[in-house]
Amino acid sequence: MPQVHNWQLGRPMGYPYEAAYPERQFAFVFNINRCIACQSCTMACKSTWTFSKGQEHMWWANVETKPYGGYPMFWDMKILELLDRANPEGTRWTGTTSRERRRPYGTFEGRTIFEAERMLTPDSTRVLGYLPTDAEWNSPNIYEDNPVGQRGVPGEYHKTGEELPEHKTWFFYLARICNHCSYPACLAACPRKAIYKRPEDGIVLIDQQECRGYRKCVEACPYKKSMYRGNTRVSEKCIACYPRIEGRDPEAGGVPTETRCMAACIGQIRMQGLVKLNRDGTWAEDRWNPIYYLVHVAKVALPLYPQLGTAPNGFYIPPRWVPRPYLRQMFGPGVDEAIERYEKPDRELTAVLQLFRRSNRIIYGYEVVEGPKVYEATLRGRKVTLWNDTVIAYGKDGTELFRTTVEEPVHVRPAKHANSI
Amino acid sequence: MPYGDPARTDPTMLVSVALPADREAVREMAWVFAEEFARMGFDARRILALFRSPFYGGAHQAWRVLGAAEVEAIVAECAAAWRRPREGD
Repeated sequence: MPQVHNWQLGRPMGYPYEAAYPERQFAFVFNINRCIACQSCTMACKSTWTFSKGQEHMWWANVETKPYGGYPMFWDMKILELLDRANPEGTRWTGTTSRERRRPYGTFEGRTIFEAERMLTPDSTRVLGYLPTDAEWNSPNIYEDNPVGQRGVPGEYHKTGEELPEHKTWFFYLARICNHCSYPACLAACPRKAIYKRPEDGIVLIDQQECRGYRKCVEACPYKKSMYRGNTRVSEKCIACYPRIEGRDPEAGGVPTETRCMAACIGQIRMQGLVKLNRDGTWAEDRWNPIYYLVHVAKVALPLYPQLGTAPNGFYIPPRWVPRPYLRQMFGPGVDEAIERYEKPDRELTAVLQLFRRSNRIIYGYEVVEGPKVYEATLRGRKVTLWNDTVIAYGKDGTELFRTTVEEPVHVRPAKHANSI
Repeated sequence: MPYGDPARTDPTMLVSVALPADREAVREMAWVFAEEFARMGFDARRILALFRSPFYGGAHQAWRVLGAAEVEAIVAECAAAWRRPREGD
């Protein structure tokens, strides 16, 4: 099997195809600390791409309540269990986190879903995976924290809803879309080579003419973001709203624009961009690209289940309150450093966090102009100093998209106009 | 949450997944909620209202577990550290 370099694992990795990388890569950062599971992203995607007959079970963008929920049900527990069985001697991360872009999280010692030969049956199988059942696809948020009515009384909320059974411990909301992986498992598994990664932006697409609905991609994608459509008998997946990325969407006006799910995010947890790649698939130095900064400089955003081996291009600022062993399993060994930095943001990180959702245009670069010190205070024994810096966002051609300050005035709408626009 | 406990014979159900959880996790959750909302511009009064409302499940759970006095202290400290200018400031 050819060897590729997986920078998230810090080592060469077996992959069914020779390495090939796009010029730029679609990538995004989600700040889980701010997600309230309003499902605006979910519905923006649903109403744009998967509203047709045969797509009822499809949620290309979804938000699930961890650790209780999953779409499809238990997807991550199931693939992690398979990975455990493929590594009877256990897996571990060695080395330390560092600024080295070829191995920022140390080295993963263990088999990925591409390297679990002993578990692959039949012999033609290329990727470790499983096919979810219909029941697992059909109830995206069952057993989570959604309100339910009284048994036997349809169409009404329970009058004392807060007294219904509830989870007694911590939880958080995990927003997910296709990760447009650098080493896509769906692409590796497709026997017809119907799946491809676009050379200009790394978006992974299924060629609807070539697909014959074998569902190998559905089985192989560890994140379960390839979905089979029964009435057309082909598989479909998130297309990263590519007309918007290209600027061809009517709303885009010729300018690269973020996806529908990003634009709809009222919690302002999402930022999406296009990062430059080196010839070995690592991220090229692009110091003033906000996605590059959050992943490789501030190192507050981490990949989702990097141990699976697909090199996902979705990165998450981990939730600060969740027990660390759970987070290390989900985001790898960079968790402690990421939370430390996010809890005590320096001047630049504080400014960059202000870039989230101030515009729907893709940000290619930013600049921070220093402002005056606003105040100092103490929080949990540490000093908090706030500087009212201005952060300026630039688009593809270097033109200014917007500028905003760290200290934004808060305007409270008067009660009589609470719902008016 | 479902109405009842999952049926043990339901083949799609996984059972007995242990979760680390203690009072400290709830306290940490309360600190984060308070700080994130303070960073977004909520004042202490609005953040406390959120904790008091039983319909904000996670925050209200922290309110019940930790007690009003501890939550009020957490909120006051976060609001003071991340105060934002308001109209008229």
